[in-house]
Amino acid sequence: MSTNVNVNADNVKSQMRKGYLEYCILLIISKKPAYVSDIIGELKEARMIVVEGTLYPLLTRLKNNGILTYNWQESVSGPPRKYYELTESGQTFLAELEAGWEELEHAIQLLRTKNN
Amino acid sequence: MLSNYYERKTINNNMKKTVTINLGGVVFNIDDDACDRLSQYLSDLEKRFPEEDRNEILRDIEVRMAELLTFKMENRNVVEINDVEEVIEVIGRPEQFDDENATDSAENQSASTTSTTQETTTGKKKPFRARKLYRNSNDRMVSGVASGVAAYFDLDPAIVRILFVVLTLISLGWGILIYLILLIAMPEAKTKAQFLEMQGIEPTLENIDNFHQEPVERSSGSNALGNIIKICLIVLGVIVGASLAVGVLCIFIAMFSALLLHTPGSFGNAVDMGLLGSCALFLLCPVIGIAVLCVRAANGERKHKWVGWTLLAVWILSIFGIVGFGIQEGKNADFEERLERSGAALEQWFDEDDYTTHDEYYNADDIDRIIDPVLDSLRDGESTYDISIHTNPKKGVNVRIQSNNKSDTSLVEK
Repeated sequence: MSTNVNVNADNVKSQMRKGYLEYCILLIISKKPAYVSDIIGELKEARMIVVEGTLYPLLTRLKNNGILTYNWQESVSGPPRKYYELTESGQTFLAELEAGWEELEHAIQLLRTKNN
Repeated sequence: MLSNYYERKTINNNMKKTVTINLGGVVFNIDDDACDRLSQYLSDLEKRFPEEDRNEILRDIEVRMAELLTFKMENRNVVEINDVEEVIEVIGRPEQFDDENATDSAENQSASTTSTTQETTTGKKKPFRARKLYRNSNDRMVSGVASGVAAYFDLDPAIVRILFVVLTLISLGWGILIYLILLIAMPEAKTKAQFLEMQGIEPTLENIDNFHQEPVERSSGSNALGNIIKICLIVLGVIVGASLAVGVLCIFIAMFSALLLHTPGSFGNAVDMGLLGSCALFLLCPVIGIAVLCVRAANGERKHKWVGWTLLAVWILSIFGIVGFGIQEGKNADFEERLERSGAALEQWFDEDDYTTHDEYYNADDIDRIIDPVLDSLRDGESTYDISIHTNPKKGVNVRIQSNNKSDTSLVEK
């Protein structure tokens, strides 16, 4: 039973992370145009992703939805790199997510403190 | 680096082939096995991405892998399998992608993971028009015709097998003929590509690689459905065998008695015996064949292949026998009928004219040559004949004819 609870908790936690993964990516990119390994580094630091591979489909989807765009930049070593940045609609999207997060944070805060 | 290479060789005695690859625009020298692992990994990943984005995502991942490998390669120049494994751990194993991509609750998550893996392992099934008809020798009871047909229509082979048996029973053996035609017409699937085509899966390299079909072991079949089918087949076999055997026996008795009643005294004639024997074989062979098939289907054994072929050969021979002996019998019947008619005519004539005679006589074997000219002559009145008729209950009608103006005399005996 306890393992079941643990599995469920892990599952919920990973669902929560997943739900805000896009928001996190956009946050990173909004500061300055970012190369994939920069994004990965920050996300790993923030313990938002376990494996890198899952980021790529997500980035491609965001790009196809017109939220992100990229341009190629020469690198010192190796082939040119894709640097992602937000489009205009990406900016509005990020603002909406931001508002959504604040609402959620507020709601949680409210619920946590209400009975105390 | 050369020294390193020799060192490895002397220590491990493990000289490996390397290949040169272009991964994400960077050139690597990579061990053969590491290269296989890498390409296997990439093709595993590929299936997990939506088709339209596939190339782009894969390209990004390749670039990232190249970057990671370059980082690891700092002072070496051959990528080994451990390096590839480490990079894969960083990017993520294919099953981790499934976990991360699933967005629904735990139940849905597990369900969707299994469904995606199933889809990827079986590949896309095509409608049956795109399939090819092969005999499936990996899953066969006799020659794989039924399971080949089953694969073509995406059915369970057991259903097709039972249909074949039922069809054979209803059509009194014609199902066997259909089976034989299919056996000749359907090529046997031998290569992996042919097995895939048989199931309507496009024989791409990847699908061929994933295809592992072991011959179906029937003798150790322990699943419930298999057992039910087995029992059904045995029961069917017993019922069919028994009813057909009784039927054949009845036909046998009927034929014997008919022959005995029809021509008393002539039983033992080689032609009659031949015809009877042929009929018996013609009816018995399918019965034995069906019984053998049922037993085989139930046991899943394919021993004694010659039994089937022998039965088939005997059955075909019996058809020839029936035709041959039947023609002969027909001729005999014709002969006997005409002899009877002539005899009756003579008897009638004899009664009318009260004419008796006797002389030496010969056995006649041709009614046309003897009786007809006699009757014609008698009617014409050109010749004089000495004729005597005796009716013997055991031997039949005894007719003696003597010609007065010809040198030959004849006896016709019926």
